[in-house]
Amino acid sequence: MSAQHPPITDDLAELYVEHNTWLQGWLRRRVGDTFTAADLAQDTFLSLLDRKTAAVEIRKPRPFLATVAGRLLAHRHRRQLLETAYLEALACLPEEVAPSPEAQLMAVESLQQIDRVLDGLPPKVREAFLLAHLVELSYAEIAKRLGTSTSSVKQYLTRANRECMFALAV
Amino acid sequence: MASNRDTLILPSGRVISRTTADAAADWLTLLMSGEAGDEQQRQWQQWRQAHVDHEAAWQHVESVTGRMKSLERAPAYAALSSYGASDRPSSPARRRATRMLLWGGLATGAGLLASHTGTWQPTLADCRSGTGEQRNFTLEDGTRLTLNTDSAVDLRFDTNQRRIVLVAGEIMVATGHGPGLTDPRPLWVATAEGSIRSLGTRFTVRQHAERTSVAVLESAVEVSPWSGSGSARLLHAGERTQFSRNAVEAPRPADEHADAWARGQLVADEQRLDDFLAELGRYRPGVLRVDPHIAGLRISGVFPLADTDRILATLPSVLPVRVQWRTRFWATVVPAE
Repeated sequence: MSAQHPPITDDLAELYVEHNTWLQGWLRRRVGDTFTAADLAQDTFLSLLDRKTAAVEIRKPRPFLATVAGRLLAHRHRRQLLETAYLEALACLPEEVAPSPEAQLMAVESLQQIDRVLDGLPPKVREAFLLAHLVELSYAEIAKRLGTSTSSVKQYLTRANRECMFALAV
Repeated sequence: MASNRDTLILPSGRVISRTTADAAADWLTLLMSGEAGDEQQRQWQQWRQAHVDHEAAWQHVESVTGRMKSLERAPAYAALSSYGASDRPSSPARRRATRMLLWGGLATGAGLLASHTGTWQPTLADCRSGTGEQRNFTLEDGTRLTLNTDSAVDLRFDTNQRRIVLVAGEIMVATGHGPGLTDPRPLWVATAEGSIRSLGTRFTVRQHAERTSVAVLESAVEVSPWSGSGSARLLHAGERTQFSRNAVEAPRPADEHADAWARGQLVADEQRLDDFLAELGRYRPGVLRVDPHIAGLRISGVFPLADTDRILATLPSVLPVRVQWRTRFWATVVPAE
């Protein structure tokens, strides 16, 4: 994310005025809820502030807005899936070790970040990374689980650590 | 994090080369494998010291792994891994089944976790010592930290607290005294079972399997097990105790030689031979056994830890025993003929 936002341009304001209602309708049909649709439309326009493409260069505004909004929708969906899975699993832990709601929120953000950087890696590479870092299995144990050799696991980890360690902020 | 193909920018703003970043990631891969020997660990340290960028890259790797460690790991794994499964088109019921299956599989993982932490956590720890080694460190606040044999600690110092995480083994902590060394931040030692808060003092802490023992040499500490709410206990100079996650035992008089190891000595005072050899075994690699028939013999003396073979060699001169050597690393103490 850039440190400083460019000023809101007239072009963007125009785009907003002309297409906001349409975009909210488009989103409402997908999420089925007016407030969420309004929030997502807002986020869509805000995300354009970070882009280098000037709004004036957008030839077909509606398909473009739909693409951006669709991506935000997918992010939101992923986050909800992650959050649900995390909270379900958390419920299996004894009460005294459960993290505070604040810590849970931070954890979900961390999960989202890890999920994002692992996206695009082959499933076995992703799984090897998770088993090594989160379950702390030995490479031999990971190999057994993935039905592969220890040297393959080492290669998976080499790739995953190279691609992910520096894509994760702290 | 902004980056192009050849360089990337760390959150601190430092620009490092992709080569350096890859090298740091590769060190992590090696250290996590648990296969890094002393020579490779030395090379890793040398690499870190070779360039300020190397150290910065490594610090980044450590803070990222630290952040992952701070997650509730089993649920985090369940979420991230089952997400991959639910990403493919499948019914909600099937998704749930997959998730539970992975979660069930994790129980084995959690069991392995306990045995596995011993291998790679100490490798990545901030300060560590090898078998038979005692090492001294002076921390940024002037606190002196001594690690006994085969021990590891992580240091978590920030603006609010000074936390020493005992990952394995035994340490002695002597907090800084004198002008410029009075630090207002509380000093804690955290173990698997609880925390020990220093009240301006010198004390030893040892991590055993599923319990922690503490001995106070000067001043006092406060001991709080993680799960025993309201069971915190004050421990004064000349006292020792041990605690589990739930409870602290009543304090007992400390052994006056509780810190003898920090001076390189093993001190026994009418100690059972099996207990003595169990202690001695901490300081040497390999197997050290004792014949049950002589396990109850008593031994007294002050022995130099620098040469544990010599301690074994002197045993027949003080007790009716002899030492059988199967290999250099496998010794059994048996009755003298």
